[in-house]
Amino acid sequence: MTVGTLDRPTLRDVPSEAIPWLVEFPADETGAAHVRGGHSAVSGSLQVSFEGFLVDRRSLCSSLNLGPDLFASPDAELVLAAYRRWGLGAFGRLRGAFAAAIVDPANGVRTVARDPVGMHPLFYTTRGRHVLFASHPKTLIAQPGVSRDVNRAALADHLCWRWPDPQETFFAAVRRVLPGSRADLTRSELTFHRYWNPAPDASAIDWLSTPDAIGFDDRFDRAVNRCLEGGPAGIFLSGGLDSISVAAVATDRLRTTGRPVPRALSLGFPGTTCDERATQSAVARTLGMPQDLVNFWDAVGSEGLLRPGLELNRTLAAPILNTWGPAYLALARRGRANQVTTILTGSGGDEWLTLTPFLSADLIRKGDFASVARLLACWQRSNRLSALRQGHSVLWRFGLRPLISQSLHRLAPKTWSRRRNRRAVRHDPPWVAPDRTLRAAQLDRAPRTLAAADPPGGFYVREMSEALRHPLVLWELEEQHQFGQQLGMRFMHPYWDADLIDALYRSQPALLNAGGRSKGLVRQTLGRRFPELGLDRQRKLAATSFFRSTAALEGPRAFDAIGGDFPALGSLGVIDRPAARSAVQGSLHQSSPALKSALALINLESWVRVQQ
Amino acid sequence: MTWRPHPDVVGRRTDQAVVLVHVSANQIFELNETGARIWELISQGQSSTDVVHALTHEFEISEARAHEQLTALVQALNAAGLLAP
Repeated sequence: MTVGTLDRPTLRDVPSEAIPWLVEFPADETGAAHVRGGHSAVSGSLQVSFEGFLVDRRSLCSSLNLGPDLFASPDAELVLAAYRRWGLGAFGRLRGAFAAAIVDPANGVRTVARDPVGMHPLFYTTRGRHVLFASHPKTLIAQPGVSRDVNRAALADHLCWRWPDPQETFFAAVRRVLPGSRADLTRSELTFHRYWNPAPDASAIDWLSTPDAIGFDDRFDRAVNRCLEGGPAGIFLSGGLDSISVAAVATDRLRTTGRPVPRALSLGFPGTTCDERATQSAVARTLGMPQDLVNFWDAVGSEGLLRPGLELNRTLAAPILNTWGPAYLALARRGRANQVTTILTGSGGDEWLTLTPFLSADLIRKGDFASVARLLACWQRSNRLSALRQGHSVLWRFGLRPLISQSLHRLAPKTWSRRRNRRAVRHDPPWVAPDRTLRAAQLDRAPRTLAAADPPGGFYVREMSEALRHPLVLWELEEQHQFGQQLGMRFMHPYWDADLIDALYRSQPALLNAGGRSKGLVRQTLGRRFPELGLDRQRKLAATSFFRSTAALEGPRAFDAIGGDFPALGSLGVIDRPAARSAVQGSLHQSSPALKSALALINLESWVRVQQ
Repeated sequence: MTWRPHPDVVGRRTDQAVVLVHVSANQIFELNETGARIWELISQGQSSTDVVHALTHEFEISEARAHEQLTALVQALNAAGLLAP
């Protein structure tokens, strides 16, 4: 029987990055995993599959007492060597952006781990008795026997600004392995273990109480250096303290080692209140950095910001989160054209250099009103919000209110809990979840979004812990990773370095506000280095009003781009289609909170359509 | 004559091709549909005579052409280290 024509047989070498990484474990066996893509290392029956990259390889090799020949080994070989030396404790010593699977039949180990802070994505699903892991949800849903259904409850909750489960994704069958965790498989179950946590016991943190104990400069220098290992560097240079501090350290480090200084990649916003071109140019000039300073509207072009953002949904694992994405991608391409392969950002500076205002609740509870006053003064010196608004935030919203909630929780936990649950859903748009089953699921999930009313380590620690694993944080990091893959570049964030976070997380709050202003650990140094820029007194600049006006301008066009309707979400029962359409039409021209909901809905509809 | 895949090589069928992963060399290869069919036959332990016979029947080509195609692919597989020595 003839089955086809005989073409010349061909064998093509495929770059490993072109094959999406996939690891499949048959659940009822103890043997090897089926692996596709990534990089592998094998020693006898011991098998390592690795995707991503390690940093600080020299230090790792030194700890492992490996010779210079192994220093040049692929990352998978180093992971294998680390595992042989430290067993599963190896993951806590690895730094970088990676996912790694280890199969060691002799010791009954079958595990897949994600890097400490989640720079590299890792997802999993089950198919019958098999468990599959991949770096992209779409790799998993492309497998035969894996449902492609979207997660209706997650979609509905997103429209209500709730994300109750950090492990879930917008695909019903796909879940996330959390940062700093490994998934262990035995014959009968899949269990998760957190291998990296700066403060395992929230009520007994080993606080760092002096600047020397934090060792910020050394840790930050190492964090930046780790980010420079990926080749010619660029820096998203705004006029803020975070990216300027990264630029200063990176430039020093590269110059000292005889390498080309990084390229400054800056967006300008001429004619707006968030324009920082003067500062951006002055920093680049002082540091001797070549600079691409691109005006925002030139970066996004005639298409604007929102429609290209919707276009990006075609490939993303979740609806686009960073609404500025198209502008920064254009800037990154500018860098790519100038041989930049790694872009450093100041992301994470707000999270780890700044105090959460919930500290106010802890201080009031202790009766330390002098520190509350200092905190309020610090906020006023560091931000541009009105004094009234800042006072309301520090004293009431993040101060007395959580304390009252804590007291009521202690007095009548069930009653207070019911009230909190009701309040959590009271502002849900009426057009979300017309389907009763879905609405019931939403109501059932809502309590999981509420922060602990009586946190054992206090409100400050509760918020710090949350920052490491909040679904929006993970979503943003994963999105950046995908952007990097699309461009063939690395996006690196020194302030998300595990060892730096480990110190900043445990720093006594007063040290972070050294000098009476936020980001005290970098502010004074930068103030001395760039005396003419006044960075020691700089207040944080927000682009919120610019984005709102841009969104109000472009919203109608974005709505047109999806045909002015929501058939995909409507058919799923996630929204009441006519009511949602009407609500969007009524809010698109306004710069109001309703506009935010309208844009989220348009974005979600655009993403869901691609999945159908 | 028979061949065996290298023990470090894992093959996986996709729609119309086979992806071969050489796990110790960190290399990935892709065979087109014809190459995939020959790889399957080789992996089953079939001899060169059997492979040529199968190809002539399945694709209605001459033995000489089938032999030529098999030889070309085996050379490429050997050069890439995908067959056991």
